[in-house]
Amino acid sequence: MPTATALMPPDIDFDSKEPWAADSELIIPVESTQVLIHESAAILGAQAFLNIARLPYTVKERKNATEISPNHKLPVLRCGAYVVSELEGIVQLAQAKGVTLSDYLNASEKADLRAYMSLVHNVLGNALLFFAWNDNDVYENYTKFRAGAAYNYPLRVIMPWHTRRKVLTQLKTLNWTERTSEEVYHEVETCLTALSERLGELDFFFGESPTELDALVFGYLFTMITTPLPNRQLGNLVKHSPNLVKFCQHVEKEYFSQSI
Amino acid sequence: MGAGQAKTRKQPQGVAKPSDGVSIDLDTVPVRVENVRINGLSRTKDDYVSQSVQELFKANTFNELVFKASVVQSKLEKLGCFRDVGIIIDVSNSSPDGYEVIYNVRESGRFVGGVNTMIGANEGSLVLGCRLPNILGRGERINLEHTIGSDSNKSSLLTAVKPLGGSWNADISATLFHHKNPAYWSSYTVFSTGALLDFAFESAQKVRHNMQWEGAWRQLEASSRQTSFAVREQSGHSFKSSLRHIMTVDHRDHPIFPSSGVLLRLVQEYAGLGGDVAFVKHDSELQANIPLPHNLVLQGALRFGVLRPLDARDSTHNISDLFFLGGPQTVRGFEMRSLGARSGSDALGGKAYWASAVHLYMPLPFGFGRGSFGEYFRTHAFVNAGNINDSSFNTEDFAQSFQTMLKDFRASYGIGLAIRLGQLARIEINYCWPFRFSKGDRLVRGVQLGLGIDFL
Repeated sequence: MPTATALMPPDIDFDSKEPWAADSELIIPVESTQVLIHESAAILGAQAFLNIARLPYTVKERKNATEISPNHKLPVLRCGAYVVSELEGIVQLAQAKGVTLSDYLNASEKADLRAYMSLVHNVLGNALLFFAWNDNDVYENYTKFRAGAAYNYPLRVIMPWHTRRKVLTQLKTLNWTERTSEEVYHEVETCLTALSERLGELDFFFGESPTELDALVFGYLFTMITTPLPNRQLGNLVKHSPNLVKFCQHVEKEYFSQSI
Repeated sequence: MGAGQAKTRKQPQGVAKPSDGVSIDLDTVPVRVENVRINGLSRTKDDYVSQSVQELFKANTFNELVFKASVVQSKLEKLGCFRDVGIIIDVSNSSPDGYEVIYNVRESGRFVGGVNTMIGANEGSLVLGCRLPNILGRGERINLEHTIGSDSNKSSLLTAVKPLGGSWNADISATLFHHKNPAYWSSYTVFSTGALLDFAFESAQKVRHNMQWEGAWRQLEASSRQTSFAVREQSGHSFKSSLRHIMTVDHRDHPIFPSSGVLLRLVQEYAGLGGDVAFVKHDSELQANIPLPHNLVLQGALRFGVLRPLDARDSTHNISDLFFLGGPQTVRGFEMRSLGARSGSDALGGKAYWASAVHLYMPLPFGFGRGSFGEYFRTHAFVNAGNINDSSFNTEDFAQSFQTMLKDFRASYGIGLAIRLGQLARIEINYCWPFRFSKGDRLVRGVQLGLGIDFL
């Protein structure tokens, strides 16, 4: 669950003397059959970060990627002896190895960066979880099949139900289950407007060069544009803000020209 | 659990001396059992009890009658319906040689609860249980058990048993279970939830078979951030649906400190009736005991197991299906389940293993405590050897698998004291000298403590 605490460092001491391992693996579920929309966004965000920071990695598809993850969040990055997950974990690991994208920011910009990342996590992250698991149409026609795809009968039936229960409990503690789809839709719209205003006519959120926030936002927006849910066109919301679309195209062209 | 109450009963060689001084050999006194009465039956059905007393009618002499009466008594006790069983043998009025046997039984209550302690593989556990014995009057029972182990093992079981009796001594049971099994030697934890159907019968005397089906949803989880990646990458959910056949031939005279007899145990498991795992697994154990002069007993034991994945699917099994070797119950002088491939501090297990042991058991020296508390102790000297690795004995590489299994085997010798706890468990305190090992093996040179049921 993307919450504020997820932005805090996990309690591992990284050995900063060792450089970034060239054979690092980004472990993700099988993209063609398993990956769900919120997972796809998180994976793409992490890939964007790694590409922007020019850290070498290979993508490895594993059916049990979620369970391999230390906190059951995606994606998982294995770098030497370390296994970290989510964009935050990867950012911290990179930082320990001396690679960071936001060093040039001043203190107030850094606070901004953190605030916006938390906003994107809390609104877009939970909204995608909400649509994938709480919306009956989407669950029945999309989520259920993908969540069970890695297993044979009977887990093919049990696992989607089991995961749904877990996710809904999480959403419930954040009071998200009481909202209607329209409310969530509206909330996404507000968040996108805020992002669009912050971005303005700049290339990246903090000016000339991309930061962790750019990677994170790209992951969500690009996924929303390219992954149609059965009954929702989240992409249309993004398309209301031409500067966000332009931003996505720019990041994709600049940092994903070979890998996508 | 069927606690082995194998008390050997000898035919009484009784010679009665009536008051007039003339002795009567009870072996020659003719007897005709005319009537067997069981007092105290209320909800237990007659037909269920009467099959246990049939053999009384075959008694011909008085000694035979006394012997059979006590055999039947223990049979009645084993039915699990009675709290206690008393015998009265009386003459019958109708004919001169006629006898009547009367059993006074007290039925156990409708609800039995209790707190017990249990011993497993080097861990103790607390069992909270309740039982509904003899529900329908023919020995049917339901058990509910919750076990908390010292290694933070946890398990809950709900079992329904229906004895079928007959000459095969069969019974059928269904169990629902939920286990949490942490494996600290490999830093993972398995949660499994499922059902077990078991059909048990005896095909010959002392040859017991269990035919089982097990369906279990297993969730393997790395138990900490320090868990090595080789173990972590196996985490996840899987459903195992397997058929299992267990055959136990036990001709030993005592389950813990046998002095003669052979034990053979074969376990075959086929996993792959649906579900996510597919393998065949064999495990076998052979133990022979040879009595020697001066109350010495020579014991030889051999175990062998192999797991063969069944297809090329990427996840046909996980680490919890594999074999582990080492520790005070198998190859002494090494850490618990530590042998074979390792990654960091985690044992990775193996697809095949063998282990053997030769023990020389002696009573306590100088006849100390003989016939009393000394029966709870044995001293022993042992030699242990074994090996485990990842070869799965496919037909193509059979010879090579064999060689790798024999090459680089681990071995140790030592002396120690074994203590029997009841009829089931045992404690061993050994001084071990591992003398064949490989680099990276975790040795226990010196004192090693073992606690458990199954010892090699």
